[in-house]
Amino acid sequence: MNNEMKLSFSSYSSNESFARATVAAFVAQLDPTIEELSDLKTAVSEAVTNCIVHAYRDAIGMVYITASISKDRRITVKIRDKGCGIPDIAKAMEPLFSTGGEERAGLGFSVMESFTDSLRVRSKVGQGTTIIMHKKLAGRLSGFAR
Amino acid sequence: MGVRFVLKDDHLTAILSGEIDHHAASGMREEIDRKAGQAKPKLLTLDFSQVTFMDSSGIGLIMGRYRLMQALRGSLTVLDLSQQMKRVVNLSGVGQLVPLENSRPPRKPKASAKSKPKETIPETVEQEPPQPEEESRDIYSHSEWENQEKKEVMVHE
Ligand SMILES: Nc1ncnc2c1ncn2[C@@H]1O[C@H](COP(=O)(O)OP(=O)(O)OP(=O)(O)O)[C@@H](O)[C@H]1O
Ligand SMILES: [Mg+2]
Repeated sequence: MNNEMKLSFSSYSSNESFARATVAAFVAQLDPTIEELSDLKTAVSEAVTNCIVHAYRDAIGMVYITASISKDRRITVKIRDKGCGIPDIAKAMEPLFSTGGEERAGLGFSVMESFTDSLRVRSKVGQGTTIIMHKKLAGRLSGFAR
Repeated sequence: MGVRFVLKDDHLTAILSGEIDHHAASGMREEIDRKAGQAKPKLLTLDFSQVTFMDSSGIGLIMGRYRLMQALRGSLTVLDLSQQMKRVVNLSGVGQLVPLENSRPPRKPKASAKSKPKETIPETVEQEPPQPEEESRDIYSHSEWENQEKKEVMVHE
């Protein structure tokens, strides 16, 4: 049985740091390196920000995070919104593609891809988007607290 | 948190601190643009030495200030990005437009002591992709619409 936690919060931008810090605090029991933890926080921050900036552009909705860790040090983070959805996922994932205006680089998906081991995106227009990320931590002698 | 400014002749330095995400970046952007609009410097430096975290919002912040300085006929430099921040910035082409400088000679990254065990412990980790059955096991369900999702794209698995 995996060790799992769930978190849901309103899509206020002030919750961005809360969300990534909470996932990091949960994963800390695996004793990740500073770099692994910072990679994960960065990827989570991208996905959460996308819910806030794009999915619920003109509204406040709920963001749902499920994180789980396994004994073999595999981390799964799932981040979901019930916002506008993505019409063309492949296009959205292209580096530099953005519908977010001047201050957005269009690199959120690129960051998620390069800072995790795998990234999966599911979306349906009008219903929402789910991001699933996996990251495998390097081996440690101790780590999983039972 | 926030931005401190040092103005010396035509050189404005904005010392950023704390975490740069979408939320924090919007306040920083306003402060910098207001100050730069008043001072009209020839050179703007964004100093990241006090920044503890940055996501792609930081790239947007740098790119936007690059355009601002172009409009003011000045130039922009970026100072003291950490290794983590450099990895984010290097995903963009910003380094080609804006000089990325270091005030101190590069030291051994802080994480090196911590990441050492990575190399010394024998690698028993196989890089196998996540198992498909993980997908069908519904341990996540926050909501009912999940099953209705149709589109699916997978990358670098
Ligand atoms: N949860 C989401 N709901 C709806 N649209 C999304 C969602 N996530 C991403 N998108 C769409 O995909 C595009 C690309 O996202 P990505 O995170 O790569 O870049 P960005 O958010 O525009 O800019 P950056 O992340 O660099 O600030 C977005 O501009 C948006 O159109
Ligand atoms: Mg984004």
